[in-house]
Amino acid sequence: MEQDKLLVERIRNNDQHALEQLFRKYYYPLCQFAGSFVKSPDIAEEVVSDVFFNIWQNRNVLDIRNNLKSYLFIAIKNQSLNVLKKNRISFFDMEISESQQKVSGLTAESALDYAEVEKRIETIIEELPPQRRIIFKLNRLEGFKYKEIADILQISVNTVQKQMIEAIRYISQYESQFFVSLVFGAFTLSSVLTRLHLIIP
Amino acid sequence: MDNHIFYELAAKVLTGEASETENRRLQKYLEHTEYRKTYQWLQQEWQKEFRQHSDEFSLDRGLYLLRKKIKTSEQTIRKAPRLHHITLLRIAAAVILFLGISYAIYHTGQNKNIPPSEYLAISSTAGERKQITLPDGSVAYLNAQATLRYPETFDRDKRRVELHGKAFFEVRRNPEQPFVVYSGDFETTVLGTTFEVCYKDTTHINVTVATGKVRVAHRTTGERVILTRNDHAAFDAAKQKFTTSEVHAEHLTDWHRNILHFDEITVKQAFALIEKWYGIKINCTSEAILTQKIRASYHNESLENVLQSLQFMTGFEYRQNNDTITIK
Repeated sequence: MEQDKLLVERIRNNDQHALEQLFRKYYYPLCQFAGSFVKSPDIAEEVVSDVFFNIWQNRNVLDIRNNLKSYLFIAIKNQSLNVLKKNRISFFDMEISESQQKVSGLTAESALDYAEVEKRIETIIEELPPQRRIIFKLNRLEGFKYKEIADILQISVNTVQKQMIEAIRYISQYESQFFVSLVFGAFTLSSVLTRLHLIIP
Repeated sequence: MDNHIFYELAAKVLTGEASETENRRLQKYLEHTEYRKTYQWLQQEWQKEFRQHSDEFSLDRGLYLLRKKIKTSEQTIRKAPRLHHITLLRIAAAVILFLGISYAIYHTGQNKNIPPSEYLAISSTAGERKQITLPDGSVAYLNAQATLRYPETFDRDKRRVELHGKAFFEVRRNPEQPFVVYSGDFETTVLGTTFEVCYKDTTHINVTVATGKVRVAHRTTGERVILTRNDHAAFDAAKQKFTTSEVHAEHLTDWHRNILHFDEITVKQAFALIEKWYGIKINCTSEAILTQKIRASYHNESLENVLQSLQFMTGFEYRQNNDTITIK
């Protein structure tokens, strides 16, 4: 945070190295975020370089009051949507085509072993509907708070919270699956015992 | 105890949004084994390092784009005159300069317009293979009946070529200037590797990677795959998706080294390959010959030598009449 402020100050003083330092720091997360809107990695990279170019162009009037990271994510979102608008593709169209494809091939019946669960947790997340996935990743990958996510995506805090709950509920559904398949006997026995214990204190 | 409230509390605590009260309310839920198990699992997931898939993006390329944008804008800023500083003298100078330039243009004629980089197109006929060295030193090997278009000099941001048919590429590594093969709706992007692209029509493409990493994308659907060594991808037109498989890339692509390779295939399949390789026609009706399996490879051999070798292996007799070979 403090480092970001110093970099912004140096950018205001026409220091291109500071701009590039900031660029290096946030490049991959911003590309990923842009990629969740524009799909093509080439375009995502264009979007990110455009945002930093705009910062450079406007460095004299640069006014970043809040946190710089949020500022960058908001800028990336706006620029991505501009690109989509220019190419006459709506994000909504893509959500539909995307939700039709299943990535991991996970089904409720398929039993998973532990190694698979480890590998597949990211695949499970890829299966979340786009908005939910973006929200989840902003929190999980970037550590943004509900309020910050709401600001970035211009939605209500309430929506962010609802989507996070749904995401967590979805993920925990795979927990029970992996548990049942892995320690079926022990688990059922212990839960039966717990229940008995509850009934007969 | 309510499931929905449990998840709401779990979400809040995991994301660091919970208040003291909410923390305590979650603890109540965790006294129950099932809620506790679920929560422990979630917590464990939460602590795991979430891997970022960053191989799709290249910081070098990003920096290159950014620097290019800044440089271009600075050049145009320098060129743009500051209107509020223009004096009469400057206007006069501009007028003189303008007249001078007009005079110069008038006298040097019209053929001074430099056209944007010229495109070259190279095609191979039936039975012909060609080797092309591209402006950046990369090499393209065209298989029979293929066409490659490429500029005399590549653009700064990308090395663009256009392919119809089958070609093998040996691309010089340059992360700042990706190499892109355009074929219809397909784009095959690499930074530096060896791979084969076979593009027949709008819905058929096959890509095989010998070394390095290659990305194949279908523009209209946004579908894409990343391939590495010995990966092969084909576009499934019905499903509008790529399907991938593992292959022996060296054997599949050694045609570019002028090696004709029969890897346990039937004589019938071998004849089809020979027809394409030498641009001839083979007539054979004997099922007994056609169904035999063979294994052989020929490096730079003449048609005659290949036929004699096959004759030795399978015991057929052949007669050549111009471009037609009849086998009994």
